[in-house]
Amino acid sequence: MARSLFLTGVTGFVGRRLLARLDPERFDRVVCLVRRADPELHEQFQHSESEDSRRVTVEWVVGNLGQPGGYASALQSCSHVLHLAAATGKASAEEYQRANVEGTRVLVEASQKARVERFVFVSSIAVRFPDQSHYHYAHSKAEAERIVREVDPTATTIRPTIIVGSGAPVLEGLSKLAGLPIMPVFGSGDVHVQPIDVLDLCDALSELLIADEWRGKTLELGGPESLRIEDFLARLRFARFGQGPRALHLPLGPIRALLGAVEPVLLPVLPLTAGQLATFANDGVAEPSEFHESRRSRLRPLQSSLELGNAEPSWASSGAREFEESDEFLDQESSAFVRYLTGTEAKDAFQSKYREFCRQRPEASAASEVDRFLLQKARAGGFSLAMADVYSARWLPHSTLRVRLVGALGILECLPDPGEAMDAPDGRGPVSAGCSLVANAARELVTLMIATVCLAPSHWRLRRQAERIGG
Amino acid sequence: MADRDPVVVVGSGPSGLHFAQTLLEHGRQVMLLDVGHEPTPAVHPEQDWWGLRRQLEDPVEYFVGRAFESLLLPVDNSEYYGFPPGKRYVFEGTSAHRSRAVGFAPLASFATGGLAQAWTGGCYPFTAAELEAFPFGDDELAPYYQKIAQRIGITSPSDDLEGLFPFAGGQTEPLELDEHSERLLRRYEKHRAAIQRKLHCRMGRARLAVLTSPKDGREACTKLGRCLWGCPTGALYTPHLTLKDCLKNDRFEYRRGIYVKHFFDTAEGHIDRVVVSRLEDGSEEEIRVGSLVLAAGTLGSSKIYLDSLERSRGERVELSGLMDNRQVILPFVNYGLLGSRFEPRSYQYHTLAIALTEDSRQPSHGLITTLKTAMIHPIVQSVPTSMRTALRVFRNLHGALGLVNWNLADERREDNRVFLEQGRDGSRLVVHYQPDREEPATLTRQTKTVRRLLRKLGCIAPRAMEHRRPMGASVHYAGTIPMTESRAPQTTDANGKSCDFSNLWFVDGTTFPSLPAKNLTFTLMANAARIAEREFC
Repeated sequence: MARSLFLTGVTGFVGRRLLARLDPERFDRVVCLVRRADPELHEQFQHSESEDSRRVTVEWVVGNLGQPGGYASALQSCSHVLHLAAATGKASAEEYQRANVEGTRVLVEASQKARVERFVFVSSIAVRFPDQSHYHYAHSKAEAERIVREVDPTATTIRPTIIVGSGAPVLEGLSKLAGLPIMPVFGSGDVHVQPIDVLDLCDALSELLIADEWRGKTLELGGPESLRIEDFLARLRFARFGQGPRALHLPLGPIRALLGAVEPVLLPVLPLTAGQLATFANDGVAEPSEFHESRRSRLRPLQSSLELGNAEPSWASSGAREFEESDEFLDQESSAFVRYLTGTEAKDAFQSKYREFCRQRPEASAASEVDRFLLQKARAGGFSLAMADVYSARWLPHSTLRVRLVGALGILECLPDPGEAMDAPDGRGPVSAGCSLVANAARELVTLMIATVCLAPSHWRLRRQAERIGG
Repeated sequence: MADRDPVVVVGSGPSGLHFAQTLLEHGRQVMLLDVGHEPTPAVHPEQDWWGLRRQLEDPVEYFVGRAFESLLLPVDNSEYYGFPPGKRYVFEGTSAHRSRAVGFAPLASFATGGLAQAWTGGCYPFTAAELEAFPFGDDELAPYYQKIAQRIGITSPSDDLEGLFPFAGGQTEPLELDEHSERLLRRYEKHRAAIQRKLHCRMGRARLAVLTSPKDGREACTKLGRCLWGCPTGALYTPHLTLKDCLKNDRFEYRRGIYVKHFFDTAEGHIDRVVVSRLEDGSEEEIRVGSLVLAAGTLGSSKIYLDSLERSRGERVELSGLMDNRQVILPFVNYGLLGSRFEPRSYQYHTLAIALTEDSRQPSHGLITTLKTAMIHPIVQSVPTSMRTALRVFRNLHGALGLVNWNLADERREDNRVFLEQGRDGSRLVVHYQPDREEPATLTRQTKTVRRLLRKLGCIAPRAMEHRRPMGASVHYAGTIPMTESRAPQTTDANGKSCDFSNLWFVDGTTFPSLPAKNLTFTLMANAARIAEREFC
């Protein structure tokens, strides 16, 4: 029989893999809701025709979860809905509320209206964590689960444990810690995790969509093994970096409190969030169930899920945008630099010279992963750029970022605008200059401390990876 | 009196040009052979430092170069000279000239006007004590200092430095001081007694080849703040101006694009021709000479001489006694001027000079340059903080910054030698240099004195900021074929006439038997004029 699936979150880590593995026997058509058209993704699924001419027809609807008008008619044409889309990682509390709670409410209500047969909602094991302090993601998922149950009592909710596999965001986050010379473990490291491979999750989801026995249920799904989080990190460390276990236990409570306090300002640049630390405070093991038992024998062994697949650079696969040097990106970079250095807006004359500079002086090309990483942080502008600048000044004085900042300054000072203003004292006389110096020194110091905490883990990890690939 | 066949001069630096000019004044014929890379033409001579940016179509190209080659980046560890694209011609090499150096970083110029096209205008005559090793006294040189001063225009104030820079032939009024320099000089005057007695230091105004009133078609300094990028009004003297004067004279033949390789002599040691290579097509040519005058700079003249000995006589020799002034740079902050604006409309280089007179026979001469107009990115990046903080710190310090640089004397030592190395594509000049063993101790003592002086002047100069420039960086090369009275091989007589060839003269620094701790350019010019008159007129 012909089934059509309405899928959200297809551009995410799980969604992309699910779409690629969807069995045409089960679904002959998939309608994907995406926020914006992505020609690369579209093309990828145009080429995924099976050789025996059986194939899944993939259609794209560009729209927003919160605005059902844009996708209502597409929903009408579908028999099944799989709701994967969610804000994750470093989003703000408001964003979690908007995307995860409100987005889910609108979708499940629209699905009811469209009289779809089956609605499957992907939640998280974190919903069940007893200690959810600062964990906006978990709060939003719990709220979303409640709404789904209320609106559609026949819907199935699935709570996967930590999702692993090459490029898994959580895995990349944790390997930043695991790759440090001494691996920090927050708290005792005794809580248990039960990581599940993304491909196992995809298979389970597509079965769940067509099986009738799990209607109206909330199911938990974990991997083949339950182990202490410290042991998990040690395995990850060994698999990725070939390093033996050297752990340093850090007090969980104060760090969570501190992160929770600075998050409102520093969220975009923190290596991890207070919420994410909940993983170190709660057991993340799936409740034994018939569903879990039925899949157990087919689960992939943990070891295979930890290794770096096909040497894909981690920053490219972890959701970060790929590093680009097109005019557009260089202009974005140079505007950020000018705003940062002078507080003024970049002029065209400057931007075109800056592009030439980056392309003509060999020292200005980003040779290493670390260079690209710092430049990417810098392009975000604002405090992220301040941190990258201060970090490179102290730890990587020959990095491409510093070369380019010097280049930007060297070009700026040749131009009539901002010209004189850029090289004028802040106030008149020794007193105001002295105050300005002290204030700048203090800011530099604080920024350096924050930057070191935030950027050192990635720096170390990228360096290690480069060494491993090189050696 | 030398013979009346053509006098052929090699090199258009200050020595060669003032030699030629003197001969022309006496009605002699002169042919000057020169590689002669030409100066970049001056642009917008009416615009000051800021105005220039607004007027230029592409200011970035003007200040840092079309390919950003003058942009100093953090990865570059070589000695920084800060020359802008417009001064590239001064250091542009030629494929015909090859050299290699150990313990020395030689700079060479093949420009019209030579290295002095990039000088800062300091004119400091040698004292009688400093001329002690020379085979003539200060009275012999004095009229020629006078003559050069009349030609080029030199400010000669009357102050505490008079005795040390014994030149009173004042041509023009002293240059007006910028506010920072003025302040330093006032502090010095206030503490003069203590500074002279305890620190054995003296301070005064710089003696500069800068016009403060119009002269011979050159304008007075209009304080554009553009000295480094090439004075567009001719107020700051460069030898190129003398070449222009020479070219007005029809007894002067200037042959540009010529690299002189070596000369040939007859059995009696009489040079009859030089072999040159023409740069446009690499072809060789022989030019007949009556008298040959080498003014290609110490290293250039030495190379021609060594090449010729080998070609013409099959002799391989080493020349010893190469000298150069070690230069030390010490930046300082005048804390009374923190947060003040710098003066963009001022003479950009030094306007103050100092002398460290602890060793009264060999005082060390130095300059104080207050920071005014300058490219700031090389300085900002040297602050070890984030670029934003560095920029903010710098702009609050700019008006308070300055630097002292001073010279160390040098003497001829056997170990410091130049010789030739033959390769597949011709000969190569090899330079070996080792500083005096006493040097580190002298430097440490002098740095301490300069720091104490700066403290008296209301400035702080962190010791860590002291920078000892590599040997070769001051470009005061001298001494490989010294003037002596010994008549030994590889020396000259008191008038720079070679003891090995009957019609060969050296009129550049090659013949200096010692090198005082001060800028030698003024003496190079005076000595060349002296030899011209004594030997050829």
